[in-house]
Amino acid sequence: MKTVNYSFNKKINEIFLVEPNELGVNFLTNWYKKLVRYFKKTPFLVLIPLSFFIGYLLYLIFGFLVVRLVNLLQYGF
Amino acid sequence: MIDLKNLITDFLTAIILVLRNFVGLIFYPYKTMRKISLEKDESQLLLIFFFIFCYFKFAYFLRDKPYPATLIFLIFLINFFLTTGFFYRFGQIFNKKNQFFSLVYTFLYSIFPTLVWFGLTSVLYIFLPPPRTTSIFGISFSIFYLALSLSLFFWKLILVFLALRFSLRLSFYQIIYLLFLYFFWFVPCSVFLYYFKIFRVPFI
Repeated sequence: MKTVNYSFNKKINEIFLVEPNELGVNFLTNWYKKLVRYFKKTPFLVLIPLSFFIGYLLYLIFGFLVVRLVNLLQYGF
Repeated sequence: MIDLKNLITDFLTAIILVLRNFVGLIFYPYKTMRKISLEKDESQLLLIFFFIFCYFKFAYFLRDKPYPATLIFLIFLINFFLTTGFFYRFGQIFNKKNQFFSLVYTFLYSIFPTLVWFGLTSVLYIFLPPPRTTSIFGISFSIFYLALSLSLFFWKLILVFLALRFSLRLSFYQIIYLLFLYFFWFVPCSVFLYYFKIFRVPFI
């Protein structure tokens, strides 16, 4: 029983490690909470499509400059 | 006398814990980073530093006119501890109870996306060496590579945000303010490292 209590207390302390974020305005806080939900768990489900979209958008805007940027990055290690 | 059996057991445990945390940071970054901020096991830190050093050794053979891997690693260490020191000192303005060791821990785990990006770029450099052309394949690869880099960059941002949130116990605005301040130090530092051909893309 003591072990269960200890584990429970440990978990509770971990969960309440930081206070919830408040952005000052209710509207902003609500949007922040809605947005952050997608990044707390399996963020790549959102990040990968978003990155491909941004990558394609950059190509549409800057054209072949994107290829030059990739050349630079590939020498960047 | 050092007990070899215990040392090996500690090392193997650290490998399992680091890999478990790594997988956790991919699927549950929030929960995992919160747990990492409470960790107190130094062997995991040493193991991650060892992984980073191995990467520098590997990159040494690919680079043109390279500096020794040990020197690059030392510069990385200086840069890393200056960065954590910066956030710790400025974080104390808002919260005096924060712990330096916790910040080092979470920040070192937030190096993972950087390590993955540098590792992938090095491997791609072997199999698909630049320069890219403006053919359909060149453009497709460029978009793919850019998307890959962007997703790792966003992941990195999430992890740095969480590291500051849990180790320094700061609010959203305080974190943004600290990152803004850090930017003024980070840009000249990156230019300096680029100028001396130490890091073309800053390893942090």
